[in-house]
Amino acid sequence: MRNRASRRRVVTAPETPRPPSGPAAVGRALLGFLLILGCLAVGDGVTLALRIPVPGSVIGMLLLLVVLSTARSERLNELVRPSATLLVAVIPLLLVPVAVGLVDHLAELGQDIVPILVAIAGGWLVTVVVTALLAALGFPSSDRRRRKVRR
Amino acid sequence: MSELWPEFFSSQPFGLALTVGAYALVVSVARRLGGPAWLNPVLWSVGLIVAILLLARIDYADYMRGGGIVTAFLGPAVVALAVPLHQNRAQIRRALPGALAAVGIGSLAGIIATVVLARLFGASPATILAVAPKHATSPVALAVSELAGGPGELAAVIAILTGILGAAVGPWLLRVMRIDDERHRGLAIGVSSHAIGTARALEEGPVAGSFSVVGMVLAVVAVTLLVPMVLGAVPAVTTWLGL
Repeated sequence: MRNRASRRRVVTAPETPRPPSGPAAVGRALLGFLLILGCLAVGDGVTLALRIPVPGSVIGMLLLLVVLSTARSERLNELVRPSATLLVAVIPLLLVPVAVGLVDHLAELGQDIVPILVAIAGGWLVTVVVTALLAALGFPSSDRRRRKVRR
Repeated sequence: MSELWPEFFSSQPFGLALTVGAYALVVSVARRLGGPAWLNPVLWSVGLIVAILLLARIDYADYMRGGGIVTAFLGPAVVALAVPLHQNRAQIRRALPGALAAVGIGSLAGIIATVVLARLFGASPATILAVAPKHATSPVALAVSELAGGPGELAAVIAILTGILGAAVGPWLLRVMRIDDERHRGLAIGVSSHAIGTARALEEGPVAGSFSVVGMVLAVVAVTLLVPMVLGAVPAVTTWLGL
């Protein structure tokens, strides 16, 4: 049986961030944002210096993960969380102006529209199916969960 | 009077307000209609803004004087993805070996399928470079495509189209496949349809959401490493692709 409720789609921000209130909280949130910007700057610097085909933001993310994981206390995590939650929640909005860039590429998009659409749909399908099946093999559901879905 | 309009259209507040306004409008309409899958916020905001730019004959560069303010936060947003990863680290660590293998092989299969399909259906070399990194989140697709000498913005557009497809069809496909575990569902959605898929996966629950972030992040690494390899490692393949 399929669960009706789980099929309903609700369009909301994935996690509603609570805006920091009070000068002390705002200051801490800005300090967290500064840490994010610092990781981004280091990541961009690494990309430029090593001339590697990895975006600086990805290196910055891995750097921040290392920083958060090696920190003795959770304080650093709490510092970063307000701005990080907000930034992650608005990622779809942040993608909009870049995507609007398609107006400058309508000719290219139109020229190759069939291969583009076929490659998007086919490549996507292969990625989902292979990943999902290998995930189910690689880290199977626990016995309790499996019993629940057994027909 | 009329010469004031071009100046307004190329001002920072215009592009910024158009971006935020279109997104807010689409989200509120979608919420009122109960959030149907076809009303994806990114798809419809982009469509709305593109229509306005074309109708009012506004240059993309002029719009981006304001729109670029929004784009400036994409880099920090990618860095910020470290936080949800860190928060769910215990559960993620247990599944990580299996997840790494699944994402690595899934990504490789996806990239090869994408590139081969594009080539078979007659795509130009530039188009091949634009579709190859399509399952990475769009700033990464943009960077990976540009670093390979491809059209970055087109790659970003294609990545977003991929994300929209995954957000709309992914959960249904996984149900048909009887993939019930939230971890497997999240990982597969995140790998194949990055941030837009992850927004959708978070609606299924925190476990699906956090594994979708893992999938999206590992896909970033996989795409960054594997796309140059697929395109350039074997000279015969590179020649066949016309690169």
